[in-house]
Amino acid sequence: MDRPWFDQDTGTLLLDEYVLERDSYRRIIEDELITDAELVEQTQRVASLLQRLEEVLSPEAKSLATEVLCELAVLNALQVKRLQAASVIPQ
Amino acid sequence: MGTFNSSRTVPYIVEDLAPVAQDVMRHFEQQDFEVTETPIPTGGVQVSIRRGGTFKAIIGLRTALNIKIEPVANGSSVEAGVGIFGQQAIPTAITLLVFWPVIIAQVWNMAQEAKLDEEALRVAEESLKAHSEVATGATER
Repeated sequence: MDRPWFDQDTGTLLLDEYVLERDSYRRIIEDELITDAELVEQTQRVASLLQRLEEVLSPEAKSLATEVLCELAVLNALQVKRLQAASVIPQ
Repeated sequence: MGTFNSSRTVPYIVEDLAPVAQDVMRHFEQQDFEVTETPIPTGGVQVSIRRGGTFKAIIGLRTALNIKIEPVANGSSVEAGVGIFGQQAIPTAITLLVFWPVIIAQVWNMAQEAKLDEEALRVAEESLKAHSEVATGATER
């Protein structure tokens, strides 16, 4: 899946579009129901992909990827906290 | 059974669950697990077990297999699931982390592969049965 992460003209991030195309995401959206099996399957998929990524990255690329993943996790935590504060999701 | 926990309800009523928790803790202590006990507001008790290599540390806290034993209508409920050692609730700081679902699944897989959840439920059930018989004077036929 060798596609650009950013739109060359506008500089906007394209990853969300790729997420929307993925079967794993579509399955959740279609029935708006997250089953135990789907959750387990997705966690296993993510763990497996992270293991593969770690194996193929050079030390320099791995350092950058670690930073990206950690900062993404922080951003996600911020988002969850804000949604909790707005009572969109239970605390 | 939930996504990352195993549970069962047994028809044994035991007023004082402390001796049951002691039995569960002793069972796992004998296998070199570190164990601790935490009271639950519902009148139940939670036993946490952990051992190096199986349970992972996150933000200085160690994950553990938490075994909750609680009184329910006409019996007792026993539930084994991944949590934090000696804590009833998982701290919000951990649940906010995007990789927490991956970690909890991995730790749960390790616990299941070692059949720790089944063992915990079995030991708790046997103890509940024994202590309910002591309380009622009942004997098995």
